[in-house]
Amino acid sequence: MSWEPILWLIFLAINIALISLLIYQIVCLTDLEADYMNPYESSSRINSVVLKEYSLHGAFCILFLLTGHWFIFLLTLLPAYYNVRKFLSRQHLIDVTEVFRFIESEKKIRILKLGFYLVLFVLVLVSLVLSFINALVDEDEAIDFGSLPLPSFF
Amino acid sequence: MGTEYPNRPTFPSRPAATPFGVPQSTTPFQSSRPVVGSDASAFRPAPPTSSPAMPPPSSSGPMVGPGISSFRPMPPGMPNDAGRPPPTSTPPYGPTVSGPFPRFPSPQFPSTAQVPPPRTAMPGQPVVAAPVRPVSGPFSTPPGAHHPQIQPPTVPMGSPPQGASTVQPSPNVHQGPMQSQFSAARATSQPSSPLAGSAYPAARPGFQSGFPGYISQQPSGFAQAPPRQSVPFPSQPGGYVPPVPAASSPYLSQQGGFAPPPPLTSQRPGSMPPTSAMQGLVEDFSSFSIGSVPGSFDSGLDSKVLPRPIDVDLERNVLSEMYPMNCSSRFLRLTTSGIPNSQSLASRWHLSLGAVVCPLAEAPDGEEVPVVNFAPTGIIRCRRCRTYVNPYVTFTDSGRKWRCNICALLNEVPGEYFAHLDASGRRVDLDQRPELTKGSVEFIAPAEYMVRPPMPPLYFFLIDVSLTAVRSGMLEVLAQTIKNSLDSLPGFPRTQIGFITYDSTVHFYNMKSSLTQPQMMVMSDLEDVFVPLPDDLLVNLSESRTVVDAFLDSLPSMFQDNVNVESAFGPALKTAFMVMNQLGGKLLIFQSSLPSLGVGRLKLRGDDVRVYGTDKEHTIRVPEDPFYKQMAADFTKYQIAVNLYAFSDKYTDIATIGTLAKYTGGQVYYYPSFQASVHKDRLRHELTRDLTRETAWESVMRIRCGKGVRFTTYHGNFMLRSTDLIALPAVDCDKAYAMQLSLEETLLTSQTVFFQIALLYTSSSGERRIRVHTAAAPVVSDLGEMYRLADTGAIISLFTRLAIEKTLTSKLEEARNSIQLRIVKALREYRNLHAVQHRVAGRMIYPESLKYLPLYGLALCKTTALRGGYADAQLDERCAAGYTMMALPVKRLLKLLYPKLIRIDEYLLKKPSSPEESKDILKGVPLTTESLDPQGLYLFDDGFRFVIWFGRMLSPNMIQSLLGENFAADFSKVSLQELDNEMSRELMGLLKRERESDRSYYQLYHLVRQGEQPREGFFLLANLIEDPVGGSIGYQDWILQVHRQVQQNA
Repeated sequence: MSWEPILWLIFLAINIALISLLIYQIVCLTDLEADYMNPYESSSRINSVVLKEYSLHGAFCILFLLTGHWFIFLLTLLPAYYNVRKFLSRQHLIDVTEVFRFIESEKKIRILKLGFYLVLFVLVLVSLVLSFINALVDEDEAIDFGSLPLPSFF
Repeated sequence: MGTEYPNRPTFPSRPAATPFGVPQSTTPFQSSRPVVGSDASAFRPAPPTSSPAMPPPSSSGPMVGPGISSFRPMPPGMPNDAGRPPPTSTPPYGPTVSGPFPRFPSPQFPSTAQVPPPRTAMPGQPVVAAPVRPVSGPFSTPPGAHHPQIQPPTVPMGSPPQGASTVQPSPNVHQGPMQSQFSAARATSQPSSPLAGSAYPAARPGFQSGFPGYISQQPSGFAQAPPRQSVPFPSQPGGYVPPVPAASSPYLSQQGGFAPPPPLTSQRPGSMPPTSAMQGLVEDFSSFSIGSVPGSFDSGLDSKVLPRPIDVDLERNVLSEMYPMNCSSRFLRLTTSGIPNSQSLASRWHLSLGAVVCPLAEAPDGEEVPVVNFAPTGIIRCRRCRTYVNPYVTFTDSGRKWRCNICALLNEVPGEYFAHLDASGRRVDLDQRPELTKGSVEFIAPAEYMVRPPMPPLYFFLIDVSLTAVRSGMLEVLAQTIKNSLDSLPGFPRTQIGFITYDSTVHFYNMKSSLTQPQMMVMSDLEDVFVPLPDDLLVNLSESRTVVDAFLDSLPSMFQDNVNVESAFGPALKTAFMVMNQLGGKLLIFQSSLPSLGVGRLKLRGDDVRVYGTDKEHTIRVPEDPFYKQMAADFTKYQIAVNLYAFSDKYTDIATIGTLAKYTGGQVYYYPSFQASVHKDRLRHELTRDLTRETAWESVMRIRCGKGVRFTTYHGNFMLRSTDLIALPAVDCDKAYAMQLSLEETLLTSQTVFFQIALLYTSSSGERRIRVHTAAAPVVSDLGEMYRLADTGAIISLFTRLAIEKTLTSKLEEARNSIQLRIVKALREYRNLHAVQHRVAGRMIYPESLKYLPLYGLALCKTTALRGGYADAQLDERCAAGYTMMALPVKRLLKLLYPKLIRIDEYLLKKPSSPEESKDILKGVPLTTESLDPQGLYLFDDGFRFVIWFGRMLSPNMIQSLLGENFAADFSKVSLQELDNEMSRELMGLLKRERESDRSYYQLYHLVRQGEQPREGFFLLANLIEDPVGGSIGYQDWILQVHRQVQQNA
């Protein structure tokens, strides 16, 4: 089963991309707060990546579903739900005219998301390592993974 | 007891009396007791101060200024003193002091003298005293009269006497009445600062009688309590009596004069009539009884006793005597001038800490803001916090350095700005430096303050020429008005002007000066907009005047046969943006139909009854299409202000297109169902004013305030460019902005908080200027004091903005409830303050300063923007009212909330000769149907329109002489003209005077006959806010409701 490690590699790449998109947005917001950037630039930068972030997350989510990783899929469903709601109510973009009124909450939600992706990052990384080991070990059939104290969802 | 009280009072009073004095005085008190010398020192400076008054005060906050100069010598001595023996120190000081002090000093000294011993006893005091002296800053805190918590030492000092006599903790806080007295007293007495200091001691003795009562009233002396306990009592009691003897001879002498009753009398008279303790109590709060009998319909509330703001000026200048160098309240009003010293205190203040700023308010003749040119020096600002030099900065080091009053940094004085200090520490050139004596000044900004050459005044017109615009006659009035205003546009000869008209296509006009007739170009491609001849669409008015005149002459006739009903507003807006974005300026939009073509087209919405009362209700009040918000943001970025004139009789989605004005610092003018025959005068007047009033271009505004407090939210029509920088492409005298502030530190250590508003703008003459308003406000430790210093106008102004913003995210009802809730909470907190000591059951109690708050709260709930539900106001009208109210200055807003209703028939008959007499006759009456006499003729004026109400039994002669032959006709079709008789002339004269009293809007009149429905109901009855109309609550019931809620959990 050599596709498992490749799959996890893809997940890892997506996850890193999401993390960097969020960090970028948070940096824009803090710069705005500190007056290093004007609201026009800051919000247009953030707005240019918001949709990318959403669609990437959507792909992420669906990929987990398709590959049958139920637990992680359910985890990623939370932010997905949030994203969809924001998008449908057309509040996903930063409103440049009112940006300072919502800057705190916008920042908070992005930091929460960032935390979520970092946790996910750890999970994905562990899974990746395991799947690699699994693939290598498969040939020798040496290690019995059932004895490892890992959750079964991996 | 009496003595004790006096002390307390003094503390508060000082601050109040004079900023300057305060710090010093306070210090003296706190430490003073112990350190006689210190007191003395304080006093000394005072004398000089008194005459100039100003300089020292400025420093007061920090204490540094006056105190420093004068004090300095002391510091060295001080420490010693603090330790001990006042006596030693006293001698030196005494002499100096004695002269100025005569009255006060003695008391203090004695006390000090006494204190010393106690101090030793008291651990806290000695220590405090020592450090304090040297460091002005610290002291200020102690003065703590304000902040009892902070400065235990202080308390003891002042309180000692109190302690001795009584242990009452609260006194400090409440001195409200006392303070005022004191302050007055001081003022009268002389050197405020010295007085303050001295006054306290002295005052107390005298005041004592009054104080006792006071104290008793004020239970809340949290801060104080501790201090007393710790020390004062023991020592004080004893000390108090002895003090006199203890004090050095000089002091004694002073005391002698001082202590005696005389001081009291003298002081009190000045400020207020002497009051016994009881009286003091009475004055402490206002109340009326609500003797409701459970179960009965009779509320027991006499509606006549309810407070009404009739014929009163709510302009409060509580601080003007305390901080005479503050800018006028026209420019800055704080919701309460007492800044709470701790977050816990702030959290008990439910009326929002904040300010309302009107940076360009019109000043009456003789009070114009002085213009200062720092050309050779550059503008003097603090290196660290960028504060502009102001009357509250203090000069030290023989004038070589100045200390910033906001961040306390010592700055170098540039060589060109240097001036020697006189003996009292004031600059010798003070009288030639308006920036050091006036709270409001205007600096001429050098090139560093420009990112580009100052722009010329620029007016660009975007005019709807579709069928409705032509039919209503709007186009004709518009063209005439603009043409008539051309000569008075500000900024001649640099003024630029341009026009675009639109219906289903966009029309451009080439106005090049070489042409004789404008050339019209039509753009019908709405998807891909472009600007033909970008250089000739915007022209210099003086060069192209003939072309502009020709254009305006032909404009109405050009489109008189236009039957196009579409509106390509979005594309027209984009092209206007393209034309203007090089320079910025003012864009005036005349819109008479719903945008229907191209980008930014809008749907009919808002007539869906079902959405009202649901959670989605607010969505019809928020912009539908983000295009307009984005355009507004771009406009602001390029310094373009938008003023929107809307004329349609149908839905035009003001909620959405109004954002253009909201985020560009503009204004929305709404003329529902515009008909030239009816609304002509109003449009003409308001457009003329818009075009000709003095305007500040490409401006930004920032408010700085002292350490520990911070402005957090801003409310009004503008866009924030950074967290605290308000971008205003164009500002004028009719715009005000509200903001809320919060405490950043749990405890404020300073005694005074300074605010500085700086508006950087380009004047119409092409000069870059900075208008700076500076104000100081005392930090208080007592909630009662905050209530005493509250400003109803500012509170209501802020509430209005908060409530209107709330309607954008929730239901109207919730917005109304939030206002009510805040008022109830505030009154409940106030009641708790007093309920313990007084039997107030069945009485509604409220601070004198907030007596109109409930009424204005009710009025706010009944304004067009917030009233009722779906049926009570057209959506467009509601939104337009919201946008208008977001920008209104306090005074106009109050008039809109509680309009003026006056009976005028007597006036017309009597023809009073003198203004006083006519003022007497034209007395306002409460806004209720009960005040309408069927035999009378009434004028209702809310600042936006007049309603003239004809009583059913009004003498026919009068009607005839006012209306001529039309007296029997349908009033909706009758117009008022000046007829050839005295009465008609009087009436027209009256209307004219009322209009001229405030020119920012023009009041059209509506004639209404009693009993004529539905017009009477619509124009007048719905606006009699004290009556229960259409399901809303009346004033009396409202008070009962508020009272009931206040008592719950009280």
